[in-house]
Amino acid sequence: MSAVKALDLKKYQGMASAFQAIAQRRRDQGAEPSETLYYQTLADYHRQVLQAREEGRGLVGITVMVPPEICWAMDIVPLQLENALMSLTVLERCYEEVFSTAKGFGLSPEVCSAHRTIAAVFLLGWAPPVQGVIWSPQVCDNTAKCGDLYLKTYRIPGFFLDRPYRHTEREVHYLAREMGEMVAFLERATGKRLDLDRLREALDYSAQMVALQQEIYELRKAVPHPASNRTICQLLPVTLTMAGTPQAVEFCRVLRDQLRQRVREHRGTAREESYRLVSLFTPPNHKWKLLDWLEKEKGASLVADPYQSHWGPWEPDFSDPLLSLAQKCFAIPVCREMHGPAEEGVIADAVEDALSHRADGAIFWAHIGCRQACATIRAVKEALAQKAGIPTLVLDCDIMDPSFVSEEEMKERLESFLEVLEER
Amino acid sequence: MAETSVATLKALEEMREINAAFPYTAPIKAWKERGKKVLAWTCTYVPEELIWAAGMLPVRMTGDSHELELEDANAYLYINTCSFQRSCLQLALGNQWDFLDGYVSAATCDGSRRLADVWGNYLSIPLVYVLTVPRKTTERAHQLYISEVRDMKQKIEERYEVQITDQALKEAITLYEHTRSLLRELYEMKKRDKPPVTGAETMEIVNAAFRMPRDEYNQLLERLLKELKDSRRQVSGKIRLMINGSPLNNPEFIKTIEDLGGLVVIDELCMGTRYWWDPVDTKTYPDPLEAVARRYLNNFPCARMVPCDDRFDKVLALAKEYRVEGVVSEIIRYCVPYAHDQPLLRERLEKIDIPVLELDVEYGVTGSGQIRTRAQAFVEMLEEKKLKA
Repeated sequence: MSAVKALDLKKYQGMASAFQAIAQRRRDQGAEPSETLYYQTLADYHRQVLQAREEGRGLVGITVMVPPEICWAMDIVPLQLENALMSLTVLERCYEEVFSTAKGFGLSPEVCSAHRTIAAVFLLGWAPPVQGVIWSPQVCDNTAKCGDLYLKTYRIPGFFLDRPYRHTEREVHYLAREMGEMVAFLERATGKRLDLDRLREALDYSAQMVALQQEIYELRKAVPHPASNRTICQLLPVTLTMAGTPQAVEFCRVLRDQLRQRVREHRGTAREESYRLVSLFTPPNHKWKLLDWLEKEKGASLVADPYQSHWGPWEPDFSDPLLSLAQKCFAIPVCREMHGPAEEGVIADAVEDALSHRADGAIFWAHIGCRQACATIRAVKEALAQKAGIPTLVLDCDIMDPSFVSEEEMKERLESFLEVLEER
Repeated sequence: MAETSVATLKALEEMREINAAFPYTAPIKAWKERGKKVLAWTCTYVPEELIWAAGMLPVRMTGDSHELELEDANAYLYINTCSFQRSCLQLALGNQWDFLDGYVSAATCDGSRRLADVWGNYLSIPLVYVLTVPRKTTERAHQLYISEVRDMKQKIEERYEVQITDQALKEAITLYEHTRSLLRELYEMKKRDKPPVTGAETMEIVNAAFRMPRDEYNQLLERLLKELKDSRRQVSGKIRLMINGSPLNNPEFIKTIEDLGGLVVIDELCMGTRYWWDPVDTKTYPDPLEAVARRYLNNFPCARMVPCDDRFDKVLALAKEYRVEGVVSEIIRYCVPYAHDQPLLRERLEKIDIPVLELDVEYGVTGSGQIRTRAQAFVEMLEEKKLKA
């Protein structure tokens, strides 16, 4: 492909250093343990990505919800593309270069900005030299369609992990067999071999992580809400990149302990908790400070977020780790909400969370690039009004592009919504 | 497009008349008046033969052939759902699909499955069924899809208390295969220097297939082909074009391009070649359900399928076979599968010296304003290129 530039890892290295610097700053400021650990975990992870090849480990790109457990078990570092390359763009503040590169290549602005970001980072040669890419329709058409470009850009092999629509036994088995083929692909692409015992070990870590996240979900029912808005957004990146590792378990354990302590002491994170909100879909990645503002200045806590924390039932079976991982793909938040019939996924989860976490209102982060999530807005909004008795603010935004809507505009709309809640 | 010898085609006029009454066309009305049921299907991955074999009339769910105001649909589906899906919903909310007895959709793209969600939630209809469709064509994917099609059959049988026998399915296959062979005959004629029909007319002919009983359509198409042969009708254009991309069934859009001097000799659309291209292979697969299922998954791929090169290879082969000089790619805004493919496909087409005009459109749009201006510039550029060659 003619558009590809030479490999240049300065931005990626810059991001890894930025995570390290934030971790140090949090440590120096005496931040909550989970907060420091989050940034340290990501700094260590990105260092692993950068050093993988030198250390004789494998390095493979994966799109959202491709199970990283398999990679970790094979001594392959999974470069979680959405997470890593969006962080790179945010921390290195290179939005303009990224979006203009995607546009120049011909990707229309209606393609999700997260996937335009990844495409651009590959075209610019900023993505680490992965030995292959595994992509999947686990979430949406964008995740299904993004992979071909990466393969052509970096001239590497790829594997498409096909996930079916419904959660039936037959479809779970199909996905499990796809994962078997994914293992064969990884073996070919990296020369690494799968040791089943190591996969069972990774599955065990994964199960521990999920159990801890389920405890965290329960702890968040407490009044006042024991977790900060920002902390809650940190669960998903760890789940996507580190599931199957002791580091993911450790992060969740530290967070769980922190919340337990707060619940015992009846301490919240907002100075005075005035509003308990359900957060639907994902707040803009470039504007987590908005979440701090909501919490610190407005007393609004995000007490539930089905897209990030509502797990379905999952019981791993160590005699069949791949089948267990396939089952996990149907239980994991995001996939539950984005795939399958809306009635069985996001609508039911949103209502359940609103009731169980005693929410006063909901914010739907209407990311303009997400057709899957936004198409459910009306149904979710109505279900929340009718079954949980709460109003929903639909806040237009873009998950990655800060130029789509200004911070001031978002704040104004949030303030008006909180006034409505106040009147209620 | 310059028409050199254009006889009026009676069969085409009849098709136009049928299309004009969309969605509740005269043949559908007549079918319903006989007390029979009508099931809509939404995507070329839903096997129509099964619905026909159940004694019901399969009709294709589309929006109207012109741009609609989508205010009602926007209230249910967010504006970032593609306007094809919103147009379908708009008609439904305006009670224009009320005659349906069921709706079989497919989990082929985000828009398609979310439209089914909304339909199921807000519109009263006896059945909304979403068929799982793998994105690969491996043997494992085929096995899954065959099972899913079996489930669809069972669902229809249970819901409508009918039996879809192997015999009925075999007959349906024969009927639909006949359509495919007739359409192939028509498209073969389009390879000529001066084909007998324009691209816009071709679209009207294919549209009619979605809106009337198949046996009646085949008879009409046979008559049309005979008329074409008898009349020695010829149309010509300055430039031979292919049109491809997102769902498009608006003949006016193509007519605009043809009025500028282009002649659309081939398409790569799910309402064109991708609808009928591949046959059912009953010799290799004697079980009729398996034969049908394999045909639908193997058919000329939509951009949803992986890897993209399978589709690109076929597009390039069509371009060569029909001696295409330029490609007009129309992508509906938020039609993500095609938007992702487009830069890669354009690169492959340009490599074989076929220029591409990319148009971001809303479903149902006519070729007015900016589209017309860009199409005109494109045709002129191609003419100049041809002169220099």
